[in-house]
Amino acid sequence: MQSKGNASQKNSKNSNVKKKLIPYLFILPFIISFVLFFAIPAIYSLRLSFLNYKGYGQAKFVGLGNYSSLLEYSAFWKAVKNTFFYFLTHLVPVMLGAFLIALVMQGKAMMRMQKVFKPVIFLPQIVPVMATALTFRIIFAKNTGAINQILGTNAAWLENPATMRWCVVLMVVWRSIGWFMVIFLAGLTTISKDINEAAIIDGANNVQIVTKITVPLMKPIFLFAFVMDAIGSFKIYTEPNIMIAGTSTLTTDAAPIMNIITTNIRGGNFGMASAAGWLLFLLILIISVMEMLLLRDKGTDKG
Amino acid sequence: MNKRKIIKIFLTIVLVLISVIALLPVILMLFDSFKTGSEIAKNSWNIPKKWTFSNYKALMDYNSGIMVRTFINSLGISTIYTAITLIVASLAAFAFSKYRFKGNKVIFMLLLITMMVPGEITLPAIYLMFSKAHMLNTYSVQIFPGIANVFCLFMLKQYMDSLPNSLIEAARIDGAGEFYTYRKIIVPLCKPTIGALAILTFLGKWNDYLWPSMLLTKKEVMPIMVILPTLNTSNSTYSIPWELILTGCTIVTVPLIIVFLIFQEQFMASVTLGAVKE
Amino acid sequence: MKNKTVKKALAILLGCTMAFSMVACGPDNEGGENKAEKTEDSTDTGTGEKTKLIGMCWGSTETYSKLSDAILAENAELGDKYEIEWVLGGEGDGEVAEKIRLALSANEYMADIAVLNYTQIPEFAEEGVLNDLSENIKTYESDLTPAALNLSKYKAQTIAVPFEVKSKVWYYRQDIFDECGVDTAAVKNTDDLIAAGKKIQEKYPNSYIWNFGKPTAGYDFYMTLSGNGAKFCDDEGNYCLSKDEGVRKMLEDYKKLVDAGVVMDVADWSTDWEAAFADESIVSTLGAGWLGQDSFLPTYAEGQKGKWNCTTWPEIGGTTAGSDAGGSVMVVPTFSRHPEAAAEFISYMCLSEQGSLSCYDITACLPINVKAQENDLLNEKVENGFFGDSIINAQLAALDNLAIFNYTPKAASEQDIVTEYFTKAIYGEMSIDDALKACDNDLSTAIGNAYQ
Repeated sequence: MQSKGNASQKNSKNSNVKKKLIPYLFILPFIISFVLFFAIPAIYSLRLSFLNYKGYGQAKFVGLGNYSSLLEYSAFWKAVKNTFFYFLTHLVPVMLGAFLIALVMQGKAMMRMQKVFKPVIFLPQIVPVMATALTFRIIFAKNTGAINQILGTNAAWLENPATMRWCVVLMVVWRSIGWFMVIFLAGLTTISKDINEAAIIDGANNVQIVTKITVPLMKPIFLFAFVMDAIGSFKIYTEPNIMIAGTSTLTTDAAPIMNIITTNIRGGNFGMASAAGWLLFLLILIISVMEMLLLRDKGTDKG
Repeated sequence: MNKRKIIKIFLTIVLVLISVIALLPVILMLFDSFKTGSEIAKNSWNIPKKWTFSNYKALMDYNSGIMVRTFINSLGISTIYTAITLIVASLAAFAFSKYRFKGNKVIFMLLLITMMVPGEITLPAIYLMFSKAHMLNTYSVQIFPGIANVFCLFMLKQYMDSLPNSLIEAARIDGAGEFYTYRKIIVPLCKPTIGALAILTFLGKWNDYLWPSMLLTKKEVMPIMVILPTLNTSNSTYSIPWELILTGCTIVTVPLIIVFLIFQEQFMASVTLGAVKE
Repeated sequence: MKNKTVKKALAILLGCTMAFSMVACGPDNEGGENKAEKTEDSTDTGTGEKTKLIGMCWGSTETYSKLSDAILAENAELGDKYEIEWVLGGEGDGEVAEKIRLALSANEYMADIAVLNYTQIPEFAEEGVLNDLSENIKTYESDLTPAALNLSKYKAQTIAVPFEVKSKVWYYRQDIFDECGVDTAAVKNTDDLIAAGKKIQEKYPNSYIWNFGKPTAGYDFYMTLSGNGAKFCDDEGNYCLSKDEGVRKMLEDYKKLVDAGVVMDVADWSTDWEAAFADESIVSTLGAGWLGQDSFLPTYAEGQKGKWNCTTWPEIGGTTAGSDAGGSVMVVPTFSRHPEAAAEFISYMCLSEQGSLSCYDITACLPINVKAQENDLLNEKVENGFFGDSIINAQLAALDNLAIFNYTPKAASEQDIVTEYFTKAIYGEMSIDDALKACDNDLSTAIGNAYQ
């Protein structure tokens, strides 16, 4: 036992050192990838945003010039408007629709049907974005479009600046309702049935149960869904571009903020592209901060 | 009794309607893939009058088999990306969760904060960096940016936190090495979370259009999502064959639908990750 | 259970494809290496090793491949020395320019030759990334029209080989015009054009004499702007469209055409546009020489051979002069691996008598070489062509009037921005004043100064 003790002491010292290193070894691949492919590019992009650089030749320092140019650039503000348009117009239909569907599916009446309807309504989310955008592009097409063929009209849905964005919103709503329905369904199942039963005993009708009990209890989930949707919406790119313009450039009437970044990269204005990226980040930051503040309030209330 | 039945019927009808709307575009896409171009021009929404497989054949031959190649590209890249991301994230999550080491809390906090920064911010920088390293038209540029996924890290750490430390103690007493513990004990226990994250990550990469369209110009390395909208019938870029494009859409969609129907539970679980505390 | 096997499969796939990606990691570099070796071979030994050139073009590689094949076949000397492969840069000249910028920023080899419109020349010439071609141009100088010579230069540099001199051509259906009693010689200005369009619509209510569409093709605007002296900026590079007479006049005239209902609302290159020639919705169009090449109008208007004729533009926007971007040119960027070979090849292809005759086959543009213009072979080809000899005569007549727009180094970005506002202005979505002001605003914020 004793000799073993000495040997084990020596071993334990070695293994002690080893032990201390192990966690670092475990996090090393992550940290390296993070620094190399995220932190460094992010900092480089920040630096680029203060320069005027074509990708070759000389880089000129312009300070906040790119940012001020962007903030004065009408196409940039149009893009911000478009992005908010896409976000706000799809928000209510999606959230409301998803919540109502979830309520219906969760009720005693529909429980058994859930197995059939849930995957079907969720299916649009599984279809790849590109396929959806292309399919909807042909649905709204002028001569060969399903809508025009069924209604017998010849409207240029995707070429008319007044209607093109609504087509995108329609597609986004079609696609997103299933996703949020699943989230809300999961949330509804966590609400204890006892509360509902107690309320019924107290004489509350269905509408009152929903508005006075369910909705307040679902607030954190609503908030989470709202923020997730917001952040995703600010980065929207594939849907408007592919659906309205295919592979050509999208008109500024419908272009989201991402387009400012991509147009500038294609035109070789890396400074502007980076500055636009950081402005986008600012926008997302504001929303995220709002979420954190609101959640913290809810947290203390919940007690 | 009657009222209940009426409500039930009404709600069922509503749900059926919604389901039909959900399925219509997909069915349209499916039907159109069996129509010839001229039929689509006249009738793009109804059942094909004449079913034909010519589109599928044309796609296979298109541009010397580029569609097949890009499909394999997409498959390979999404799979490898998912694998690497999950391995890297789970290794780190294990360390953050189960080990006490200097900087554990601080580093994790810092990483969490960066979750707010959108990856798109790095797009111009990654473009320049990879172009100067002559790696712009490769598979690496599609896989490596973004493998440090803080969301995966966070989710895995959360889950691992809930695993009792006694398991690890027991393994250590039995003489298991750290990596062995990770591989044989922790990972299998995290299966549900890993499964859900795998689905999210894979789908995210499969759907990705922005990054590959900006970073790649060579057809041979592109994922299928980038080639799909550019299909055209001749060497020029002027005529757009809708029948081919919708067939391509069907090809990218149907495998996903099949996998979805098999693994429904896991798909739904991936949606609610982080949203609902189960 | 499922997840375990999935993970194993993933691991195996991981290994295989990591190996695969290592191999496929540098497809560019791989090709590059081989070419580097080839250069040394051909310059050192001069044996049967052909120098392989790569050319980048837009739209379709077919036309250029046909052309270069024809050239290499008839000229034995060149045919022994060179072979050329054409790669597609994208849909339009803008995409080729993008690829050039990309290659420059990565210090990479992309091609030996690039086809561009003169629009992009100022940007690259200012940066000094185009090889000097003065020696090659000198060889053919005496046979070139002054218009073509202009296309080869930018300020003091000679850096481009003119390929298509794109003078303005009015294509129209002679038979329909005759039937409706419209004489193109009598159509002298915009108002006459509108009257002609309306006359035609009396018999053919669904036919139009031009098309714009949303978005209207940039070159439609520039063809008029190039002739009436329009400028986007002053000599210091500050944007001032709102004060420019030429731009305003162009917009006013185009708006008149749209308001009169004689212009079809369909965009160039859309499937509807191509169909419009076939179903006779478009019975005339004001374009440039290149539209007459076999793969364009003759293809869209299949079966209407002999019915179409060409003549010069009426006065629109205050001018009959101008061109479509001056024309397209071929350049040898500095990253070319075989600069001398490339220069020799393209100069022969575009500027020699034989070469420019072959170019005519492909581009329907007036041959650049004066000797070729008088060549009997040309007359033969022309007589049998879709438009008869009217297409050559129209271009010859317009040649004296050839003018190139005042492109700045920022021309590419300028075009993107102004085209959108111009389209809105002519379709009445914005007043012309507002559109011009918005242009100035956007140009100064997005670009700043045209010359810096």
